Amino acid sequence: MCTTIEADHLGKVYRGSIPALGEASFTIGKGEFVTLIGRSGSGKSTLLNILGCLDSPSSGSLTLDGEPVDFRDPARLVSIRRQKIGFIFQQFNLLPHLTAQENVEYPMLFNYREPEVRARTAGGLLERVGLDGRRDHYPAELSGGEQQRVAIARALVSNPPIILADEPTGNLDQKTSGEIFSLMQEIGRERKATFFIVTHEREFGEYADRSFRLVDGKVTAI
Amino acid sequence: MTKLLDFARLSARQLMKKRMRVLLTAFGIAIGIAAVVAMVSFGEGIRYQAIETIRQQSDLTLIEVTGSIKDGTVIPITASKADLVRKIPHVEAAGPVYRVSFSTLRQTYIDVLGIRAGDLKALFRPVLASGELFPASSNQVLLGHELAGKLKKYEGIREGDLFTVVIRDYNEYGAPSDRKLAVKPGGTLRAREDALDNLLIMDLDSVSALSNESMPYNAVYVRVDDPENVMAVARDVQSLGLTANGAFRQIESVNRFMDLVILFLSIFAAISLVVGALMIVNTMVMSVYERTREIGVSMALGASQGDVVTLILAECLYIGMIGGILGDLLGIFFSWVINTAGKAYLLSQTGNLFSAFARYDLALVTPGILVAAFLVAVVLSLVSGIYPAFQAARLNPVEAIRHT
Repeated sequence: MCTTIEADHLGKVYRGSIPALGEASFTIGKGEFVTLIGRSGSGKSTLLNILGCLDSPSSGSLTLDGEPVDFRDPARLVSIRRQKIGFIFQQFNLLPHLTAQENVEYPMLFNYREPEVRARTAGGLLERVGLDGRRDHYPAELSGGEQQRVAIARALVSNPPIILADEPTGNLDQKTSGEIFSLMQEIGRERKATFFIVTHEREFGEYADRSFRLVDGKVTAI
Repeated sequence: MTKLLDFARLSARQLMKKRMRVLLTAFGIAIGIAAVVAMVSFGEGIRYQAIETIRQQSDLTLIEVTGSIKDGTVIPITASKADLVRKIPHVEAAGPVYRVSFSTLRQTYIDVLGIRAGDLKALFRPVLASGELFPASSNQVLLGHELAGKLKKYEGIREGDLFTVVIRDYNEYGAPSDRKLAVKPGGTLRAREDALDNLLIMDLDSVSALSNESMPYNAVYVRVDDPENVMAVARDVQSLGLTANGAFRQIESVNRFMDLVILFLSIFAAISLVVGALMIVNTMVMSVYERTREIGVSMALGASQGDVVTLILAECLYIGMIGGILGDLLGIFFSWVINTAGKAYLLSQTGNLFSAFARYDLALVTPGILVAAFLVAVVLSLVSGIYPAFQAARLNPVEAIRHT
């Protein structure tokens, strides 16, 4: 199996002395559905931000989809975010003044796709996540589960090999959370995309091909 | 281009969310723009009136070319120089002149213009009240309207009367010596309201013959084909080392003065533009703060710092465009107020002193002023957006996404 994420002794220390992440080392293969479980403050979000090239590690190295990440090159980091990574957030973070369709198209604005291509791709993804009839609805008109489905479609729109999800069901009820996990799992299999999902709910580990635990900044396999 | 259009649409959507705030901010710029438009239009109106008055009272296409002093050397108008002046493009007619002075036996002082009859016709388009022009190389002269009246009143000299004039020369020691010459007025000009009214005009060669040695011309008068070409001809005259004078110099002075006046008026009006610009900075800083999370999310989804700057500046561009259009409309309204209420008030206060104002508008709004004011609004808005835009672009995406 090809390696999609390769973390080698990734560490993060804030303000010179506050350790947020120990030396995290792991590899994740192409199309794997992985959960990272840990308590709040354990460094989950820090690790996710480093994997998403939003934050830089204090030590260690990271290889994404075969490319060693140079954290000193901001332009390259932007390019990696555009091409290789899709984000799903706990708060959904949809733009309130854009419709579901427009929210899904949004990342493609930065990838300079033609309007027709954007519309077709976003429409197809909304159909896939079961929101075909809700394209023209604004986020405020959608339920939490529906908003997260839109966010999943948005994360997939540039067809990235890696999807990073930060507590994607943290704001949803149990039933909807299960549906969202099932949906992500199905889509991961269909598209052979690697899902790396941070959660503090252990029960969703059953959806994962592999689960890691983050305790005191150290990553261990469960 | 597609990207820019997409960003423009996106920014428009953002602004639509906060219509009232955007409108108020744009209004801040609009007031400043309106003040500038009104002030500049007022200045332009005054300039127009001053120039029109000069145009009506002066002969704009007539240039008087005289010699000049360059590096301490006198550059006289020789026959060859006069020929060169005649060959300048757009010169319709050119004629050399002598200026001398006579006095009558009863000490009436007379200014004399020596010119060829043909040149007089081409340059000054004389209209005779009576008699005829003077023949070449004769002692027959033509009298200006006022001079004819003066000679008749004080000397009893009428058209056709031969009378004696005294020409005073000075020798090398400065001692005067007088010569006498008999001249006969053969015609009188109709009143012209210019310098010719007080002149005695006679043939150029007759004046030249009064001197024992050949003397350079005192001036060459030039008739230009169109008022638009006067400045070009004046420049060509100057390139010959000669001096060009005429009513156009008055217009130049008015233009220089009004440029300065308009500049000062604009500076005072522009103070309100600074306030408008600060309103934009304030609005956009607030907007960036409110959208911190949104900006962070955009960065996570692939927006570069440049994309964020472009999005924010696009919003400023819209505010500037709205402010510019509103400002132009307000400026037209202010100018209308100046031209109606302001003009009526001025005339009622000053009476006949400014009666010339009654003919024209006090404020002159031109398309150029409106376009320039619009561009100022747009540029000012963009400049005002630079700080908030870079503030947004410098946001740490991790912290921005956590922002509540």
